[in-house]
Amino acid sequence: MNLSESLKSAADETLDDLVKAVGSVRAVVISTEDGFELVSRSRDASQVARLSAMASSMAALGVMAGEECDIGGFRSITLEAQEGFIVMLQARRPDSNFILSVISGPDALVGKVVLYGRKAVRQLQHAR
Amino acid sequence: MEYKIVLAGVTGAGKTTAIGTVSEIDPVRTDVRNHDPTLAKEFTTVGLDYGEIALDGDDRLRLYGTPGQVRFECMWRIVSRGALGLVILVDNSQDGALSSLETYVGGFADLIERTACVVGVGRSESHPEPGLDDYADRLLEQGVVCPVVPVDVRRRSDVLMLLDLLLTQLEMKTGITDGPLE
Repeated sequence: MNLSESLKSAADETLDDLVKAVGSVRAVVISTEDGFELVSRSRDASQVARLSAMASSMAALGVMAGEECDIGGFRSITLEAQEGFIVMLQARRPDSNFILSVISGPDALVGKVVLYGRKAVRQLQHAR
Repeated sequence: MEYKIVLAGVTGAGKTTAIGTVSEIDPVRTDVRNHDPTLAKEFTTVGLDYGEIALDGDDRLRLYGTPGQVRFECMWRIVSRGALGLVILVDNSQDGALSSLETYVGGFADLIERTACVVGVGRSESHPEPGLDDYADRLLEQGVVCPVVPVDVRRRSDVLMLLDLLLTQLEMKTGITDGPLE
């Protein structure tokens, strides 16, 4: 991957801010749109590669569904499971698109995750 | 009735092209920019490709292409659900073409066991080795017996031949019958 160190560093800071603001985050990953990890925070390192690939596929399916239903470009997916939530948001940059994935427990406030997730996306989009 | 067929195989083997060649609807694609420097392509499929072919009456073939990279193995399992057959495409011009076949035979073992499989070998005119028999032998080592044929995925007749071979096997295995694809 030819992604600049300054971008990775900015993405790292973004994740730290997000984890601090949201709390109860089990894992958070920023990955390229083709499923490679850029930066992550997770208790289970082996989960990161798989999550990056899944985020890539789900976002691509989200783009497809948005186009098929004529509701515009993909912005985010929120998945509610029995024991937690996954929120995936797309960050569009001129050089490449990225996906921010946040996995949280059942006690997390989804609105808060989305709010701070969007803030993280803006940080990533404006990072140099 | 609708028949779901899955196309699998190494990145660059031509799954997206094959579906685009034969689909009678505008294919659905999930290509994004490629960041893997080991792949000489600008875009790559990360979700699935989708196309359709009409059969006799109201019957339809639904074609699902899968991402080639092993990291998308979760999509292989999702797309395989409810499928009636598998087409594996290999690219004879790539290093390790034979071993790539093993990856997909292993990755789709459940689907192959339940249904039928056919292997299409691309770019074999310019790269004759390994030969078709080498692929058949490698399949046999993995306990799979199925047709292995050369294919140019840009040719509609070649892709339809692959699908015909697959349907013929399905017919023998499940009793599904239909005329040749046109």
